[in-house]
Parts: sequence; C-alpha cells; structure tokens
Amino acid sequence: MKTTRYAALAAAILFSGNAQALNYTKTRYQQTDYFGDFGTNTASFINPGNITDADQTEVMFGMYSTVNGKAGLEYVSGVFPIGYDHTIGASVFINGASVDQTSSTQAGSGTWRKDAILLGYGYRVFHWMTLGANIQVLNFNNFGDGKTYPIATDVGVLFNPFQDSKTGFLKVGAALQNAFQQQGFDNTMNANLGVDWLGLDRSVEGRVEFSMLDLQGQAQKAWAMGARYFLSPNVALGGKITREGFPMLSFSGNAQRLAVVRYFEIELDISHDGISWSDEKRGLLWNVKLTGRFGPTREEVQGSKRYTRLIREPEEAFQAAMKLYLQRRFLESAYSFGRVVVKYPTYRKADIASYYQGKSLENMGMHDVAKKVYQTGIQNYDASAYVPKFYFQLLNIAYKESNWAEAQTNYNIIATQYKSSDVKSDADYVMGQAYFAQGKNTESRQLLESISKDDANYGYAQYTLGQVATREGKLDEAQQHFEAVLTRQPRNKSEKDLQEAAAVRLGHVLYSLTPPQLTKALSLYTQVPSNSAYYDEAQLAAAWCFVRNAGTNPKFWEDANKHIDNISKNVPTSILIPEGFLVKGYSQLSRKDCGNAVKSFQMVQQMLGKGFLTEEEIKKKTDEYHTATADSSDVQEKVYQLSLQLPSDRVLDKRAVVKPNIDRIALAKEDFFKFQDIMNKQKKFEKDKVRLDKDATYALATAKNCLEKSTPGGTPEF
Amino acid sequence: MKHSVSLGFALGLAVLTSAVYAKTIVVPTQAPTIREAFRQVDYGDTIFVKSGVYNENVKLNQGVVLAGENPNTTIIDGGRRGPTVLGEAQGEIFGFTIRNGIDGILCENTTPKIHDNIIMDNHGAGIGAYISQPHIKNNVIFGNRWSGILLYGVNAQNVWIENNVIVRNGYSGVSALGPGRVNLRNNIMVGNHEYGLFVDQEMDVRSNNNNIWHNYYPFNQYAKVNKTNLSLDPLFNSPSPFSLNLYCQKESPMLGRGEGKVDIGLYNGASVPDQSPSSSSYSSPSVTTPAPASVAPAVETPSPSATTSGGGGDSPADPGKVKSKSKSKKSTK
Repeated sequence: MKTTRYAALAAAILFSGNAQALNYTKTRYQQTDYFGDFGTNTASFINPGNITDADQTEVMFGMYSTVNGKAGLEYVSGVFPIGYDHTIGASVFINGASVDQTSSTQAGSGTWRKDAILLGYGYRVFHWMTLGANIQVLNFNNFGDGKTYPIATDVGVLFNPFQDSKTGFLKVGAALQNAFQQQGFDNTMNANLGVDWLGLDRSVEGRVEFSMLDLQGQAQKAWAMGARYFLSPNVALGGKITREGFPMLSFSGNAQRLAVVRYFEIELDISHDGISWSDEKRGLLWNVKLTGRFGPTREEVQGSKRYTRLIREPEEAFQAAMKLYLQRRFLESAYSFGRVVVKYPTYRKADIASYYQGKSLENMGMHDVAKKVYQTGIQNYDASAYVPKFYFQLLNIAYKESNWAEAQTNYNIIATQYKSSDVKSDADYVMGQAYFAQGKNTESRQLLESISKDDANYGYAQYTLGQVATREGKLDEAQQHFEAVLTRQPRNKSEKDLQEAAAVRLGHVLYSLTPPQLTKALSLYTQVPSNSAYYDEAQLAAAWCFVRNAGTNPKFWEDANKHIDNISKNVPTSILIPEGFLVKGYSQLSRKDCGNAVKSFQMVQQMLGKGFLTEEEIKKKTDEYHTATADSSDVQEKVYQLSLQLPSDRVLDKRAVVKPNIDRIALAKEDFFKFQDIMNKQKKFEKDKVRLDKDATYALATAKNCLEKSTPGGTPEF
Repeated sequence: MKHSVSLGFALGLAVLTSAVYAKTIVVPTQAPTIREAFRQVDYGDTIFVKSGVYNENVKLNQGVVLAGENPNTTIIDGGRRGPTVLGEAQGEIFGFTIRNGIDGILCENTTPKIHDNIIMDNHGAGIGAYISQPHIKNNVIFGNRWSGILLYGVNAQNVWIENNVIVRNGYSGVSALGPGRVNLRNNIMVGNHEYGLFVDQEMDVRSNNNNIWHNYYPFNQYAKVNKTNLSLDPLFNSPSPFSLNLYCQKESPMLGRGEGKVDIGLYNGASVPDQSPSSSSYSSPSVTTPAPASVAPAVETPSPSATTSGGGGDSPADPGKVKSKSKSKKSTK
C-alpha cells in the first residue's frame, strides 16, 4: 500500500539519517516540520485552538515525500464546527516501517510504527480568544519491544487582537504540545508560539513560528516562517522555510462550489535537500496537501437555526398571550396580543391576535379602545374569517352600553353580509336581548325564537322568551319556555345560575295560574340552593305558598316561618327581609301572639321608612365614582397606545406608570358595579314599598286591636 | 388578509399621535450613550448622534430614528459582543459606521429602515435579515467576514434593497436563503469572496439594474438576473480601506444606468422614489433638529451635480459613451 510504503521510508530515513541527532525514545515527530507550518485549521497539533477558525466542515489530506522515495509521512484530518463557538476535530497520522532486519541496528522484529490519532476541541471563549485541547493516542511499536497505546494531551490558546479591513486578520497563538504524557508516550514536550496574518483583502498571508522543542530534555530552539500571495482569488504563490531548514516554494490553487465540495484547494511545496541548512541527502522534497470543505457554513447553520426559531416565535408569542388571556390577566394579554399584531404583521393568526387584544381590553371595561381595535381589525383584515366576530363584539359592546342604534347597525351588517357565519346566532341572541331591553317584544321574540336547540344560547334565549311571554300575560307559553331551560343539563355555572333563575320565574308563573299550582311551585322554589342569587326570592315565594294555604292548615304558618328564617339566616342584607317580617307578623297574629306580631309589623314599617340607601349615600358614591374614573378615557387611550408599542425599556417603564391608574379605575368600577346592584335592589324595594306599607299598616292595626282586646283572634285577613 | 405593510402603516398611524410632539435627543450632549438615549425617547422621536466612537451594542426602538452626524466619523463599535445593531419594527438608522459586531445589523421578524451607513468589518454578516422586511438603501457593506447581506426567509414584496455597494465580503455579497421574495435594484456587488449574488432554490429574487463584477462567481442558477444587470468596473473613487470612498468616478458607467435612470450604487442626488408606504422619503431624513451635516457615506464626497446623477458631476448624456473609458466587461445576462 502506498501509504505504508511512504511511511516505511520515512521511518527508515528517521532511523538512519537522524539516529544520532534524535533520541528514538523521545522523537520530535509530529511537530510542525512538514504540514504544520502551512498554518491551516487542521494543524491542530501545533495549536488546538486553530480549529475554531473553520467555519465549515473541512477534510484535509497531506503528504510529504522525497522524489527518491526515501521519506514520507501522511495524514488525514477533519474539522467540524458546532454552533458558533464550538469546533471539534480529528486527525490520523500514519507513520511506520517494515525494515529489513539485516540492515537494522535494532534487534527484534522488523516492524516499527508510530501512528497517532488526535481528537481535538476548540472553544471560542471570547471572540478574541480561543482555547483548545487535544487528546493524542499513539500506536507505538518499536521493533517488537512491545506494542503500546500511550496517551498525551496538547493545550493551546489563540488570540485574535484585531481583524478589520485595514489591518487584516491577526492571530497570535501559544501551545504546549504533549503537555501531559502517559508513560511511554515517546514524543517530546514542545512549546509553540505562532503568529498568523491574513490581509489586504485576503490576498496575502504570512506566518512565523517559534518553538522550544523537547522541554524536558535538551531544549532546542526552532523557527519556521512562510508567506503566500494570491495572484487571483484562485491562484497563489509563496515560499516558506521549515524548521528543519528547508526553503520551499509553494503553489496553490482553489475552486469553489464543485458539486458537493463547496471549496477545494490544492497546495504543492517543493524544495531540495541540497539547499537546506543540513543536507540529509533526501534530494527533491515535496509536500502536497488537499483541502475540501463540505456542507453548510457556520453562517448557514446558524441562519437555519435562527430561522427555525423565528418561524416558531410568532406562534409562541401568540400562545403565551392566549395563556395570559385564559388566566384572565387581561392587561398583560392586551399588551401581548398587541405585540403579536405589531411585531408579526404577516403571521397567519395576526387577525386572531387583534381580536383577542380587543377582547382583553373589553374585559377590562375599556370599551372605547376595544372598539378601536375591532374597527381597525375590520379594516386591516378585511378578508379574515374574524371580520364578523369583530362586528359581533362591536354589537356586544353597544348592547352593554345600551347604545341601541349602534347595536342595530352592527347587527344589520352581520345579518346581511355574514348571515352564514358562526356568530350569526350569537348576534341574534344579543340583538334579541337588546330588543327585550327596549320593550320591543315582537322583535325580540322573532330573533330569540330563531335560535336552535343545539345553540349554546338556546337556554338563555328561552329564558328571555319566558320573560317576554310573562310580560305579555301569556303564562302557558312562559311556562313552556322556562321549562325548556330547566330540562337542559347545565354545563357551567352560568347555565346553573340561569336554571335557578328559571326555576324561580316558573314558580311565579305557576303561583299566578288560575287555579295556582302551589305544590309544583313550592317544589321549584325549594330546589334553589342557599348560595344562589335567587335564594331569598325563592324562600320568600315558598313562604307565600304556605301562607296561601294556611287557612286550610294552620300548621303551614310554621313552614312559612321557617322559609322566612332562612332568608334572615343566609341573606341578612336581602331587600326582601321587610316582606319576610310581614309574613312572620301574620304568622304570629294567627297564633294570637299579638305582642310579637305588633313588633314584626312595626319592624316592617321601620325598615320601609329607612330604606337601604339614602339620597346622600347615592350621590356621594356616584360622585366618588365619577372622580375616580374621570381620566378613564385617557388611561384607556394610553393602554391602547402602549399595547401597540413593542416592549422596549422605555415602553415597559410607561406601562408601569399607567398600571396604578388602571387598577384604581378598575377598583372604582367594580365598587360602583356592586353599588349599582344595590341601587337596583333599592329601586325594586321602592316599587314594593307602597304595597308593603299598606299591608303592614293594616296588619299592625289588626295586631294592636288584638293586643288591646287581649282576646284570642282568628286568622288575620289579608 | 390585507398586505402587512398597510397594517404596519395603520398601526403606525395609530401610535403616531405622539409623533406630533416628537423630540430629538442628542448624544452625547443630552444622553451619554446611544443606549441611554433610547431610554428617553418615544415613538416618533429622533436620536441624533454626534461624531465619535461609541462602543455599544444598540437595539433600535419601534418608530425611533437613529441618525448619525456623519457616517465616516460616527461609529458604533460592537466589540465582537453580538450584533452591533439589532433592528426593530419601524425603526430607522442612518449616518453611521457600524463595525466589529458579530452581525453588523441583525433583523429578526422586523421591518427597519437601514440607509446611508457604512457596515464593515463585522465578524458575521454585514446585515442579517430573518423573516423581516428591511428597507436597505444606499449603504456601503464592506469587508464583513461572512455574507454582505444575508436574507433568510425574507418576504419583502414592496420593499427594495437598492443602491447599496457591497464589496469584499467573506462569502457572497447578497445571500438569499429560505422561502421568500426579495427585490434588488441598483446595487453594486464587487470583489466578494464567493458569489456576488447567491440565491437558493426556495427564494425568489428579482435582480434589476445591479452591477455584479469581479466576485469569485457572479451569481448562481437560481438568481433571476435579467439583461438590465451589468458587469462593469464601477470605477470607485477609492476602494482601498485606508481611504474608502465607494462613490463612483464621474467617468463611471454606473451613473444614470439604474432603474428609474438614477445611478447604480451610492447616489448623491435623486434616488428611485420611495415606494414604501411606511416612509415619507429617504431623501429627506426625518431628523429635524439639529440637522446632520451630511448623510452621505463617503469621506470625500464629490460635489453633487445639478442633475440626478451622483459622484462625479456631469452626468453622461449617453451612458454608452462611458463604456470605452472603463475596464468593463459586457453586461451579464
């Protein structure tokens, strides 16, 4: 085999020519004599840090020989970049000989080998500094003295103090070869210092090396240097002096993009032993080195990874925003969806992000800017499937704000332009509710009746239809609608609440029928749980069911009292408590407990007189609300603007500044919403007040009369 | 869905209300560093940077203009720490030398405007644009270790890469990879160590009126290089990095040969009218006060001619006349 032949000759020369100069048990072999001073990436045994210069997978084959064939050396090495900062490499050096035993001065077998495998790693610590290390394994067979596989390591550091168009690219490296050796490693420990320069638009390169060889033995200095000039991008000429003192002429040529080989280079160095410092009778010497680069460059690999990451980035940003939305962190989700819209305008879900940006703002009660988002969405994504949803949200906000004209406008757009969209039935429901709120029973009925049983709004629509029918005095029809609500299996708390409301409403319908269906009504009232918003109403109605039949069975008074007590116990702030005391007073009167009956009726009058809220309280609370929310429009606008700005430090600072104002307004709105609930109850209370006062006055007179006479009385008339 | 640029425009308008009150922060007078200046500005504001070397890595802000006093003397040095400048949506940068970063300007999923800069000696790409729509105009992109402009997954249908001079970069002058579409016009790509223009199979690159000359290879098979493109010696004033002036001499065949009859390469007069709806015009930078002395990226800027052509004064009435004076080759196909 050719390799073996050259290697054998090299070994023979080494043994015969350098026997006296070199110690065979500590050879200088695998220094920079032949290949290293080419200063290329794969010369990692000179300085392991060198390999980080490779920006692409590189394979190199090098061969040294003499024309007379008396010496030779070969190696193959490869370098593989990983990411931006890491590079690994491997080299195999072939060197060996099968020497005729009769001509050998050595005893034993005729085989001598010293092959080596290097595994290297380079790490770019900073962009101006690289560290590297090798592990080298020798296959050492010294004429049968015993085959061993000793290990050694090289370490190196490489500095790149400057790199620019004016000064070129400079590398300064220092390395310690065979720094740590296992016993029997058989190569010298050397220190190498190298300076490489590449400049003038990569047209000139030069290299100087200084080494201290055999640091642990007889330390020797050695120099090497070389330079080459590119006549064109493809062809270079140069010269070098190896550290063994051979002046060499150098020729190289390269080509790019040759099928799978992205870059190919051939270098040829020639010299003659006769002109060297120490003529070793080798005649004409030559080195040849072939370099091939394959696969993607570091730039392309990095680019591909970055591209893959960036392709995913919008989706990840969208999902993160959606997570915030589902966690009901609406301010954060508004900002996050806004970022998706602005940062990734071509992202396929940009329209959806815009929609949820609006929903986030809407959920915070920022209706003005939510409407802006929806209107902008309609303009920017006019072909999107989300356009009808944008219109629906505008309808929904108009409904919430009782802006009936705007609600009608948006509904008309959906009903005419997007009648087959999935928001059409939602729009029908909301508009049906809007009509109901306006007292337009016919229009409301028309829309709500169109909602099918499969629709999520069906139950709600049936409830409102029940109310429409009740309002119109069509109790049989109302009964059917409320029953339709109750026959459905509730899927969430909202539907459960709806059923509780429907149970109470249906109970009232049954109570009002002629003749009344009190048992069935009572059954509905008593199924309303104590944590329901309709519990007090249901309990009071249940009490009235008993009162209505108490004439036939006095024991029913006790049952009525129990339900009244349930209100006081579970809903002590209920506006129905005065009416409860009225029922209680009747019960006491029926038992001739006239004293307590008087107290109960007086309590009713007292509570009716006092009311729940005074005018001053209402005014004060309303004023406080208006003061606290006076800047609501400004704050909304700021939030909207900030949601369309990408989160720089400056923007984040601004968001932090506006946050307390958002919280303040939200708290004020929440408080006022609760207060409005109380005010609504107050209105109902005021409505019932006249009737209750009249009943209480009459009942109190009866009770007082009873008390004065102190005679047993019958069941009071009411 | 409507075109994204119009969306950006609409959003831009939405947040531009503050632009009415736009302010200018001067570095280092009002802020010691560019980064600090960014902490003081809002959408629509301008940061004006006086001449000097700023050892910083800068991230543009949305809707903020970063303006250098003079591209030759206002230098942002990335210190090999990452991208010298990181692009941001609707950000704008001009009037700087941007050097010594890993990438000169890195754009990820963003839409900045980059014009009238010298982007040189970075250790990766001069400009790296990923899934972005950068408007890259009238820059010198010189001596970067990797590609001059790397476009990865860029889909910029209404955005042009134009009038840039892309010289002596380590790989290709312009490298367009991944799926997308890019429009190149009136650029000069010279002396790059791989291709002048490299396009991979998935990318659709329209190349009009570019001059691709003396690169290792001019362009590869997937580049759509039509007959409007040239391969002529552009006759730079001085391509040497020691006295870099990549404006063309007055004999240059680049003058008046670009699309729209403007110059190929750096212009010092009129350019092709800006078609980006998100920009008013590059010829009137949005800096108001104080106005930079010049945004022209050359040391020795010749006096602009009265005509639309730049560099050398008299515009050749017939572009064909200058051919004989240059060492030009025939146009590339």
